[in-house]
Amino acid sequence: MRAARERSAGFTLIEVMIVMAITLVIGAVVYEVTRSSWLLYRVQTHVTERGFSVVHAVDDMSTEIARAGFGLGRDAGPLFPGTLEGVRAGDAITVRSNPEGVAAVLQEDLLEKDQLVAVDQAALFAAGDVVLLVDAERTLERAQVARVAPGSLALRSLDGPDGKLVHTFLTSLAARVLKVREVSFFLKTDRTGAVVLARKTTGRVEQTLARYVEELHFDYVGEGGEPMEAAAIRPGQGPRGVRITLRLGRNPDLPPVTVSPLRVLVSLEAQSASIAFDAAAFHTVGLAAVIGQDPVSGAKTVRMHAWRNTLPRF
Amino acid sequence: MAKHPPAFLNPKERGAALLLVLVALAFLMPLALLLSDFALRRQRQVTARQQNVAGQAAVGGALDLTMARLQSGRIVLVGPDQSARFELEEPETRLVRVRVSREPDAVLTLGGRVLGPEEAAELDVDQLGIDNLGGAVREYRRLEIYVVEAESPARSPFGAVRLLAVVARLDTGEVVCLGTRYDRGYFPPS
Repeated sequence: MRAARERSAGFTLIEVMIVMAITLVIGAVVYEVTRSSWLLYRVQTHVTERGFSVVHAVDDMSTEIARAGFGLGRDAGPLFPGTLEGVRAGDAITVRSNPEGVAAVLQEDLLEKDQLVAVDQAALFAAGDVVLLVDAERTLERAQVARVAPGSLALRSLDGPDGKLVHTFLTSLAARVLKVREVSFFLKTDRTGAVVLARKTTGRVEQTLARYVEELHFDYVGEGGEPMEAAAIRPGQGPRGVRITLRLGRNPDLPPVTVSPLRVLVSLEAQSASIAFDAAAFHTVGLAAVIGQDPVSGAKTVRMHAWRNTLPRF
Repeated sequence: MAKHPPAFLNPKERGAALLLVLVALAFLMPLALLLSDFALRRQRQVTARQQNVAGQAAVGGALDLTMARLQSGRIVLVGPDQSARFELEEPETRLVRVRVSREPDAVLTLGGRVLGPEEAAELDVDQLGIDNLGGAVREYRRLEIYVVEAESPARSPFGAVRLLAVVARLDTGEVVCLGTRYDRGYFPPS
């Protein structure tokens, strides 16, 4: 009896082979499931990152475009279809605002760089501020405050060579100085050769919003909802809305994915008004206001500035 | 003759079925969690954008309504530091709380200056001039200045959308917007 039990103890070769075969099959299934899960993880992480990048970049551009012209008049060119350097392009946009509402009217003609000219609100400016020079004929020039003296400013052009002014700004044309915040969105190629969507804001370092961009385009919509040519946009004549198209490609280092393009129409808010002083509106004055809030007390402050939209005919 | 059917499992092996289920769950749960996490992540992105757009549209609409009420005389604030509040809530849309407060009046000159109440105190704001074509031109325009705050409150995890706008009511009754800003985030009650 005992000898028979000893003979039946342990496994036969067939049993061991069956167990090994089952183990191999289960192992292969587990390996396949794990590999598929890992691939799925990488693909979905890539899809999620691309999706988030496109939504975040479009949201960032929409917020800036919607506030174009805050604290400025329409004559100050709140929106420019091109780069900060003034180059017109369909895949770049520059928006301007004056969130602090800092503005001054020239009391003397501005004819050359570094010339101290009297202005009515000089104390609001600081050396290094980027400003716009504007007059009633819609002449526009970017400049920088070189020096602040009591009741006067010295300015250098950012558009002319060596800071020389490209235009002259006369008191007879109601010339004024506006502190400006400019934000530009454009495509560039980074050090790795990837096409990136970049954002440059006055006085701040350049930021990259999204990498591997395949398409960025801005289309402009006129007052009646009709398409507006970018070439038709100039100071005093701007679009009512901007349609953004952004399409990102895949990251070449990650598994291939398809990323849907995003198209969004952004409406520009009313940021100033033109107020008529006669029945025929031959004499109008522009008026813009900004509202600020004290972060501690929560008190709100309103700052307004006005300008002659049209020259008086007295 | 046996009165009970044979046991499906040997009494010593009764935990095996439970073990099998646990092993299956251990394999499937991480995959299920992974998939649901991706689905939720994508959903959160879409929802966050929808919330921002919807909130911005709601407060923008509240500004238009407030301007219409100021123009029609449904909101009347007789002096500075007076304010009015109202709420907008329609089915399927977001609640918007609106506060309108009146600021000191301003006087706009034909020369393009904004005068405060002290500077304008001695002026005859109804004064007329004549331009070189013989047309009558006003020298000044008196403006009632209002600050409009419209807020679509935060709904966790999404922040509030707030609009701050300055509007002016002209002496003709016309109401114009002079500047608008949108903020997103969490704001203390005003």
